[in-house]
Amino acid sequence: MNKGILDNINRNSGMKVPDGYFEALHDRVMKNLPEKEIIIERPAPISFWTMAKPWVYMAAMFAGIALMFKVFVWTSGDLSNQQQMATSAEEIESEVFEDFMFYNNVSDFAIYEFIADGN
Amino acid sequence: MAQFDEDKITEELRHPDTCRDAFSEVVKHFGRPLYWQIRRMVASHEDADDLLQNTFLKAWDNIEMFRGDAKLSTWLYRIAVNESINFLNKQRKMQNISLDGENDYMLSSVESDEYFDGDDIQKYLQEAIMSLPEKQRLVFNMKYFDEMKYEDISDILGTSVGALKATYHHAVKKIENYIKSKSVD
Repeated sequence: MNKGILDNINRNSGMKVPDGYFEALHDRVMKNLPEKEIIIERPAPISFWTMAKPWVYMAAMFAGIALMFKVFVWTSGDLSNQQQMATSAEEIESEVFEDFMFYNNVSDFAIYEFIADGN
Repeated sequence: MAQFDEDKITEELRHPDTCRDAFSEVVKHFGRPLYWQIRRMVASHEDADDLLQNTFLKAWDNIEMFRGDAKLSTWLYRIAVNESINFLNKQRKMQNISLDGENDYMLSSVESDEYFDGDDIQKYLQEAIMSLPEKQRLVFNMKYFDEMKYEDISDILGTSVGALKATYHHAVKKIENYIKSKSVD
């Protein structure tokens, strides 16, 4: 059987090495190996900015909130001022009208017409 | 000779202060089997010696990459196999040898090797092995000479066990036919 051919061959391949090759191999290999650079990891130095960054961000956030609050309050105040101004304008307008009527002899009909338009 | 404790050596390889001594043990333990693995691939002793040195040098350079996921022997064999195949490819390119002409080149390597003193049948066997394609040659050497398990060869070559069995079977057939034809002559 075919299997017998390989079984009958000496598994020694017939290849040889020079005398003392394996005895000297270890030393030759080790001699050729470069020294390993031992890397010791040191923590990177912490800069002032790294330490201050969270505080700066927090301060900026509070400043932002304060600014928004300020703007909101100012806007509300502005609205009430406008209302006050409108009221004052009406009062001024009435006073002007009364003066106008007093000094210019305006007829009753014109007065009624003015009041009707105002309502 | 002290017993080779792979787990202990693998652990020691991870620490800078014990790494070199552990690697020394690796060289002592694997030097001989790796040499024969390479030698059977490239035939020439000088080439095998150079490639073995390169194999250990590469292993040493990349020792930090070895995490112990694979067996140490698997990792080393893989490096040795890659070195051998790269070497053969370079030889083929340098000497402008086609894949068809590679057989003649490898056969001449066996014949011209001063460190070969086998009898006729061993010479035929070497010639038959050298006439195999690289993959078949690798599988045959690992199985026939090193008597490695298919599972271990599979880890080294990254090929399924089934494919390895088929490859080995084809290699054996070719070798037997070659030897038979030479014996008849």
